[in-house]
Amino acid sequence: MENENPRHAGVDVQTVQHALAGDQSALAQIYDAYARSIYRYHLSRVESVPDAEDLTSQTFMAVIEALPRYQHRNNFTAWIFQIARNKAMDHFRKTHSHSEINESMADPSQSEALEAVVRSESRARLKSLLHLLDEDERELIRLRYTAELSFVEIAQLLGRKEDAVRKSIRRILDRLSIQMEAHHA
Amino acid sequence: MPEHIHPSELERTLTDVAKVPEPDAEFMNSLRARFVAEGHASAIKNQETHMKRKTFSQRLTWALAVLILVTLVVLATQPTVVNALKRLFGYVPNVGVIDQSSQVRMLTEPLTVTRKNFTVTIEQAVLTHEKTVIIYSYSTPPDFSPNPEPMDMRAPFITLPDGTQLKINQGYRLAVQDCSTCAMRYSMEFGTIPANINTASLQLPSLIGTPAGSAPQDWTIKLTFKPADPSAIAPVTEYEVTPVPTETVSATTTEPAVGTPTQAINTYGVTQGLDKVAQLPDGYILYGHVAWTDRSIRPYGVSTNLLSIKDANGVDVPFDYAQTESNAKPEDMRLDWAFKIGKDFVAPLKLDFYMEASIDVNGGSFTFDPGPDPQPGQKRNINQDVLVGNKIVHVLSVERADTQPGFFFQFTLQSDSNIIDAFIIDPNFPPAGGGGGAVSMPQVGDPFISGYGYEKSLPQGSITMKFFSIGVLVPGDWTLSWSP
Repeated sequence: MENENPRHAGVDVQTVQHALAGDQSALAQIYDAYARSIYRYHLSRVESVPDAEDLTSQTFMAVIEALPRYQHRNNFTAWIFQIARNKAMDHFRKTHSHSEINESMADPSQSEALEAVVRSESRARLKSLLHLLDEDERELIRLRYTAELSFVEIAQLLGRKEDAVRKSIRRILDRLSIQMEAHHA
Repeated sequence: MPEHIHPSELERTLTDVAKVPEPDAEFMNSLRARFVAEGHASAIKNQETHMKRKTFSQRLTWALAVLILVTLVVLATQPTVVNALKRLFGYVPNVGVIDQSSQVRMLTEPLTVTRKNFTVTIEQAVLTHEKTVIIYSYSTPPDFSPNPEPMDMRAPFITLPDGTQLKINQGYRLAVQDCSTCAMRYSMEFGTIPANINTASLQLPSLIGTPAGSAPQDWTIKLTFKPADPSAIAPVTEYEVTPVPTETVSATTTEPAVGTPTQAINTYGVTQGLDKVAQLPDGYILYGHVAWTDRSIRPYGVSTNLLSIKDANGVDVPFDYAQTESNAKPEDMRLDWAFKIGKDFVAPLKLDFYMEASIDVNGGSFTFDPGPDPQPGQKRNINQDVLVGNKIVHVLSVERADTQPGFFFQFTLQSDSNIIDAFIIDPNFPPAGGGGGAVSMPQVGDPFISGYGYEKSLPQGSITMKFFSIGVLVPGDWTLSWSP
């Protein structure tokens, strides 16, 4: 059983209650715990940094509005990421675009370094294989490897059992692995 | 021959591929400031709206209080009148303290509606001249498995016979331990329903907490009200507040002064008192508050922890936390508390509290050298005395914690004064984590931990840390005495 994501461990019911009461340190604690994950999640779904920044801003402003309605069930991560997902879906509805794991957004400096290593070919192949996943599978990969949510948090967000999420991701990895091996065969 | 890929290798590659650039620091800091400021402003606005709704009732309460005072003067020798006046407030389970200075109405009887094996029960409705509170619960089919769609966030409302709609002012989840079939129990507060209207329709666009489309929607349930049965409302006794302690007292050996040997103990203007007691069939709910006058205390910065309740024989009386009567605004410099106890005790009771305050401090800093490559678990002695406010904090040591990613330091601190916690920062780098780490009820002189983290890399050379706030044990005798 995986424990709560340590990145988000500091946000408990008291933090939320204090934030609701206007405690600025509690609000800052919530922001610090989630801002980067939510930004990364948005950037992985949209084409541009300005859009990702806009969606991140929209997400946190929506959090302020929705916070009084939050019901604590030890699921704050799922709750806040649900708001982020809704904002992303609104964006795609407005722009009629689609989401994808956007490898072109990878950090150039990191890309340059990583391209120099042996895995460069595997990376390129993996990128192309990710495009073959359906949206639900891409969302799982995005939440797990871009937003870095724990299995428990993903399960709460998607309303599924933790074990089911683990198995789904395991299946995706197995399939990717087979496809990668087939490529090298 | 195909090349086999180790699962962990695949995951590493996947992590690399899924990685995106880190956000722009200026954007993140700007949004952080906006989120904190707007969140704070929104909370204050919500609380002010809540308080405005109470203004009329407070005026009415004051008018009634004057009337009661006059009546008491005239009928001072009539104890039955005094006893009757004690019943101005009442307590309803799951609703809390209500003002029953005008007629209170309730649901004629609980209502149950079932659609597609989802059963909604309207358990209670309480109508006062201040508000309308409705409590409902629902059960789900045994095979109910919510889909991952977003939650349906449409808000419940009440429609009166003339078409007037009352919006929900606030709602919160209630415990369901006493209802084995309940998936959810929810309390909703609406505006006042006029005294001459005894029917209304409750509109539930969705069942709270269910994803959109996963349960029947748009429930309309007709409610009928009647004057409340007096036996359904528990009596509440209101007390005159007698704050303790009220005076600044002389210094003792537990509060060493710095530079001024006769310095007085600062109690930060902290006082507390018992406000009301609700008398239930199975016990009591004690309502009280803590208030302070020292503006260096952070908003909501006083923690009043009930250590024990002992009866006249010194026997511990079990207690549980209860819903407080109201929520103070940050500028009120007060916090409310409520505790529920049973009836099995010998009066009087003594309530023993532990009082801690969080104080903003301007400065007090120390410098340390983490070394060129500090390893997890590596500890270095610092042994510096820092003047924080007018008190000394001994900075004993620093240890790099075994956390990834980044660098997280844990400082061990100690003070012979009443400082029992501290929040320290590196002003040159935004925190990636931090905060105090004192044990739950530290005593004066106990060592305590304060942490600080760097998300990516360590600054070069020595690091200067600054005290941002401290936690202090508020001196005084924080004992309240009460008899039924």
